[in-house]
Amino acid sequence: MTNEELIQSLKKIVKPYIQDEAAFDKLTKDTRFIEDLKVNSANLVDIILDVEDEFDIIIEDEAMEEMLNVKAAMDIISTKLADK
Amino acid sequence: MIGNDLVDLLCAKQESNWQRPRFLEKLFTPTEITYIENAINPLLAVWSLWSKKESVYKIIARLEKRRFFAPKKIECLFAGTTAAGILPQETNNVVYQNQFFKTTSFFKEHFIHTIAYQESAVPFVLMEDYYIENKYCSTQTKTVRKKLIAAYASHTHLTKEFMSIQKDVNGIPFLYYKDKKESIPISLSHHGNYVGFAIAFEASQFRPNFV
Repeated sequence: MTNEELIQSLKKIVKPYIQDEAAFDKLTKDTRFIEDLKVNSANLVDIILDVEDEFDIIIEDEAMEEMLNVKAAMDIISTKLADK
Repeated sequence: MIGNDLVDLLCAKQESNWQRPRFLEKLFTPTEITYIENAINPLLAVWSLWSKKESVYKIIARLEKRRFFAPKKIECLFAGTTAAGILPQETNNVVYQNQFFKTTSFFKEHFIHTIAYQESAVPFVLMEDYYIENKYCSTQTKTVRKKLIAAYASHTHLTKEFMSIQKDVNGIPFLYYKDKKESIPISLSHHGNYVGFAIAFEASQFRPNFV
């Protein structure tokens, strides 16, 4: 999976939870889920669960702790997919 | 230090499905899950524990100057198990890495509003919450800031025109007076149709209007 494909599938996962369309439209690797996209903190867990389901991976608590922006999410997914 | 968190229960019901597989396991410790499963109203149990964790998290984020997502590290304590179920502990009821926090949750008609503070420094807490028709994030952010400034101005007799609230790089809010950072910790929260805030005054700074 290329970075571009990864970012697109991540966007699809995140979209239902965002509350800032403008920030979502110009999403980059540095975009933060809570501060920029205004995702409710309780929905962060839904993003994590959706990522787990979509990629058939398990994200441990240690990895989850850092999963606050697009780049961190991409890194975790890539690492998990490589370990498969 | 102060933290506060507000959960609009109707909104939480729509936005989150706490019964989806692995949802509870990601957010809650085994004891917390037992408490939720035995609660008469599990939905209320989920969101009251969550709001306690979230309001304590706001204190930790302020102290450690960092953002993280580790809900299970912020652990709710329980007084013990009886025939009636697990009883929540009244004081010192949340722990994070050996630091204890006190939280109080107010259950109102459609929402929960929780405040948290460190046991070592019990402040005079001013907390308020409001219903807002408009659910837009930017409107709510503006409204809650305006409300906080008005409340702060009225209790300190400072001019509110010189006050502002600015967030630092970690997204932590600070109160400014004449472009100078005030030392008094504040906490903001909004969810669904509700906004809320808490200000932690020290005894010497608290000058209510009526005295």
